[in-house]
Amino acid sequence: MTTTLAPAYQQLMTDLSAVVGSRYVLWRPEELMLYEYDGSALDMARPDIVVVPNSTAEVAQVVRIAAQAGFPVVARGGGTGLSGGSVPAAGGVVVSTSRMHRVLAVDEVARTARVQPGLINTDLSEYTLPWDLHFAPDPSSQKASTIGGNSAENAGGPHCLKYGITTNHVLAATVVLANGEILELDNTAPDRPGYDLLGVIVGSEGTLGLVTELTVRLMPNPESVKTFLAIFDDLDSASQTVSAIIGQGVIPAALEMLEGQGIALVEQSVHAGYPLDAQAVLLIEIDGMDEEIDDETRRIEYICQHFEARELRAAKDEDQRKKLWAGRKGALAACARLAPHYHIQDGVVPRSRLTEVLQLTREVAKRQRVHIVNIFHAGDGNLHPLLLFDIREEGIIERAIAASEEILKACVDAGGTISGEHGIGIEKRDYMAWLFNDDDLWAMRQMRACFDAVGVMNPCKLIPTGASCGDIKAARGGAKALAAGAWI
Amino acid sequence: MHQPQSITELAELVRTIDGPITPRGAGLHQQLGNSAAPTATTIDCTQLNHVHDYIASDLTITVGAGISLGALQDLLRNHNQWLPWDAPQAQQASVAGLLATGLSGPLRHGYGSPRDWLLGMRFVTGDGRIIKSGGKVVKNVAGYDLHKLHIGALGTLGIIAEVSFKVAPIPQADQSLQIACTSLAEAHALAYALRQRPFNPSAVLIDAHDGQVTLWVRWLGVNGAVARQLADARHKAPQAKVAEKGDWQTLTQRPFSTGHGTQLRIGVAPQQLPQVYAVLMTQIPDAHLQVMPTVGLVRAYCQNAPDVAALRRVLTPFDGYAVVEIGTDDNRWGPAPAGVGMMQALKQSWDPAGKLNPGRYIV
Repeated sequence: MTTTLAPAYQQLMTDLSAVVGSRYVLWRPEELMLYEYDGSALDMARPDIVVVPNSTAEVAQVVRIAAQAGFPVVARGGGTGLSGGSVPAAGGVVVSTSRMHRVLAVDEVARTARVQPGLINTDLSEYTLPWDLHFAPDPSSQKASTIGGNSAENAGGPHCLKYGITTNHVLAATVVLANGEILELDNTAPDRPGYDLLGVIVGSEGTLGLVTELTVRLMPNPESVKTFLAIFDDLDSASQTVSAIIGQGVIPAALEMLEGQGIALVEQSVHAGYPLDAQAVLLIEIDGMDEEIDDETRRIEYICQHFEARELRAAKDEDQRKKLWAGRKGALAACARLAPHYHIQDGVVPRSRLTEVLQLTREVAKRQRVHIVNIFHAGDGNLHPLLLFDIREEGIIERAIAASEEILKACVDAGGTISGEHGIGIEKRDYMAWLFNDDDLWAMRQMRACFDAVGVMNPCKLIPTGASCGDIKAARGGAKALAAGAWI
Repeated sequence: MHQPQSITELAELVRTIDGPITPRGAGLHQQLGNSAAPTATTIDCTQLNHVHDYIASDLTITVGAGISLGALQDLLRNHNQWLPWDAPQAQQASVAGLLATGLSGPLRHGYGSPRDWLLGMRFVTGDGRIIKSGGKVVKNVAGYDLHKLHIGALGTLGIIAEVSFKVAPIPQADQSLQIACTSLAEAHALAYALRQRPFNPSAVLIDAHDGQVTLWVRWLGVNGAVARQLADARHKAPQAKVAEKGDWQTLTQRPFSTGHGTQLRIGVAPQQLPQVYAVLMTQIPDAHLQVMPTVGLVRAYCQNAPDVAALRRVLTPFDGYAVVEIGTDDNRWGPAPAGVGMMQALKQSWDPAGKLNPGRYIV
């Protein structure tokens, strides 16, 4: 080995190797490169070192060593995040949870599971299948994203319309704090005295501590599931149908929309039977007891007819149902057919304002000359405008970012928010001021300081920090993007 | 006593009042927590009761948090909607007060707790800042969920001034049964039998006193689904009798009503309950118990002051806790919770002069 390392760095490597074993300390540039991005691809930063610990005790020691050496600590699960949450913006030690991927216990009576954070989302539901139980949060990345990452970002997914987002499903967590202390937060005994620290840990994007174990809620698998594809010749009718379904009190398990070019792109990729010439399609799934299915089917049929759906098609069997969902969940990858690079947004609007905001995205796309495809969680007003472009085109990045900002601003102006499930991370940090004033952000900073006064845990994320992380801004200008392999 | 008419006025009051402040809603649950400082100034928040934003078709509402839960439900009912939250004294109690005291009822089994319905909040800190967290839409991950910190915090971190909730359509059918049981264990086992997949009741409560144990079960939903579950329950428990809506009101009125010397809140993970029943039988044999068997929450009403310290000792192996909600025991909250240092730091930073309900809570 000819590489010469700085003594402080060499010391850090030695200390970390003593904890996790040298095999699980990565430091060569070609190894570190793999950890410099997530699914959002707009923000990249290389870690100084990556460790792959195997237990809470190891994580605690790693954090203590890193903090003492003055290195930030950033947790990383599947690396599928869409807001830069696991990108080490200020460098430092990335803690990969990939070896901590076990189900520790399932309690059939309490309907809970104790799991490690590196467990892949779908692996949990597969594991609990014998008990007819599943983990409800189902981000489209679920085949690759981890429960730890889902918890950090407070992930959603199509079925959170009926079953709630990750925060509604996390009951307890073991958290390693910035000083290496281990904190056990347990809401399994309800209404325990003390402030609800678990409530702020979930969704804190790794900025308060590093979660090393979780107890999550499991839901019984429904008696029946029915999935419809509703096909529309115009966008307005489709969005009015969404508003009517919710407004009339039907809460489907999922209510997703694909519109415009996205439909054909998805169909060419998965061949699920999406009509190539439709302007909008709704993927509507209902679940529950047989009687509920009958009742909701009637009401959905009536509403779709009222808003002149061209056709309402029910999946005939599990195979067809899976195909319809494969189209939806693989939508982002399918859109790579249109252009090699993308930028995805995550704004939310009140469901009654869907029509106007969707119209606006079309106008913006035209004005800024970018392709925008909307494939999104219509039932809870969570838009995912997918901006598609080729970065080799002159000025396209600036136009794409301008388009994206205009759409997000419109979501805020309509009474919505800038992120429904992807998190703020680096990407939307500077937009927080659209929603929160100085006092609001002060309260958040103060709260964060109670967990981590020095800024060890995932610095430069979530809250605007001003000049100290100015290097991140520069990285953003580079706007590097991926072609495929992420999910929305 | 002050009665601010707006959140700005509330913030101004908090800034100008020198010394301890007791925030107050309808004042129905003031026994909860340690005594207020004798010099405390009361701020009555019931005038913060305006409806700021109600988009029925979005199933979301934003209101001044001083509104009574009853008034809020009346408003929602006009649009065939409701907030599935059957807290004690729900008719008169203010939304802010019920959040600050962290109270909920048996519907928690089927619908979760208010924590699951709360979308956002505006609150006033001890130094008089108005802070917003969360939002008004059903899905939102922008910023920390600071609003969750105020649930059950007895107003020590901030005064809850405005809240946004998601709401639900009122279900078609609403049917209940009362089932006489011979023991807590039997009632508990029956409750779990009735939630076997694909069945799931909306509310479950065991009420036990003077040797009588009754399991109360409520089903809400589509007519056919409720009918099938009711038939299943009658099959499993032929002694079941129809229960009325009024019965639930009586049951949920019991906490914080007069007539019992001590009221305890006992919590354990629900799978521990079968063993905990035995402990309760030994420690507080004469208590009137109300149990949410699937949630893990027990309320015990005792005529005579129980030995709370002894009860806490025997609950320790089950990782359970006991809080004295009404009573004379000085140690109302029990041992310090995990992370209490951070809780104290947070209280200090948001309320540096220690104005908000000092000494009343565990933090």
